[in-house]
Amino acid sequence: MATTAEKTPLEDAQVVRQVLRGRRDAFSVLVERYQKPIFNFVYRFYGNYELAQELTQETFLRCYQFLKSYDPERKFSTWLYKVAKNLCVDELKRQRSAREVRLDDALPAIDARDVAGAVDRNQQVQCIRREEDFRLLEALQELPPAARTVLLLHYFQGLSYQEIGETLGLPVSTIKIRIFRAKKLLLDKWRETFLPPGG
Amino acid sequence: MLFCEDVELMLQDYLDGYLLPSQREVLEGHMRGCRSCRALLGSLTRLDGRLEGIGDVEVPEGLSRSILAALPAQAYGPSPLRRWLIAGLAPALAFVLVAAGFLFTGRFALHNLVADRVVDLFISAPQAASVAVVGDFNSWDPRRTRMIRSNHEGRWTARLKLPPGVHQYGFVIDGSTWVPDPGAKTTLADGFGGRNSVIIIDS
Repeated sequence: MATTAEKTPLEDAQVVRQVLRGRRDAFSVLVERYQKPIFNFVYRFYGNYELAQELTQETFLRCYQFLKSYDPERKFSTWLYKVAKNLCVDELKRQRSAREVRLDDALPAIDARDVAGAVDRNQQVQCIRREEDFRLLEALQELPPAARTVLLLHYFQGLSYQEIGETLGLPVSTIKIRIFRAKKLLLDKWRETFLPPGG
Repeated sequence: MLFCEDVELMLQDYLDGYLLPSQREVLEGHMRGCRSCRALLGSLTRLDGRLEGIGDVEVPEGLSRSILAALPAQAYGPSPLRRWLIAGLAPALAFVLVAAGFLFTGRFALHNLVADRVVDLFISAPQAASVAVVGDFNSWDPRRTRMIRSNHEGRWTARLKLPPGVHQYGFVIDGSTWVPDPGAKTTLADGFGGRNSVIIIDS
């Protein structure tokens, strides 16, 4: 166990300060600490393992590039989730516009399973292993991005309403309503698509 | 008197346990007489359980390595002009200070210019015959920083002076067993399948 004469806990803000002072290697502390939650957030957002890898990498790259804009008075993790969420939404827009150009037709709001593809589905099953969980995640990936984001941040990343509010720049009361509505949407989607009749 | 629409707005607070006892009583009263609200609550409770039960997936092998490799080579820090000024002026300033110290005290005192911080490290290893601290500050050499057994319970301690920055370290027990600090808040892969502990010294 390590103690110092004056207490020096390994706070994220301290690590950021070290990086900004030129200690590039200190950034690895943040990567080690947050790669798993960020990867899981992106992976569940899309259900695509390879894309999650790419976007996780991009999230940390953006984080490094814009580190000076991080406000040390705020939680680093919420700032990082905001970067990841913005990248996810941008990617979704990019994919959607690419498909609109290709098909020249109206498309369902979100269909991440098409994007993921059949090969990726096998990977997903291997990773998640539980078919029921997989089905629920598929239903989740069909929700509109705003609904998906609040559910992921709350249930999987363990953020409080307050922290989600800070991440998305919205009041707590709005977050609470969004989560409730998102859950109702998810319930409908889950039932209509995956549950057996009467289930 | 509650309507189903009002119940919907209260359900999330109910599930989170945020309702006052009086509000909970009113809500439960409504649900006893309303089958659809009861069904909705049941479904949401089951959904909560499902969502909370889904575990994390493991990150792909080597993800952190590829993230770090993709970072720009340029580190943050002073601008090139400032760095040049520091590189040029710092030795000159140091020379002036050291020379002044010599003139006034008759001895050189260069070590006083570096603001090292005192760090106490300790580990419990009752069976160990020797424990050493190794880290980037002593070239990972177990012979350089031996710990002292401080009591009969097997607590080993060492006091170090470290410059500000990020330091990786570990302990070597009986000259051959390398272990990370069990009390360290952060560890990093050491590249050999083990972990190094990390300590940050603020300036």
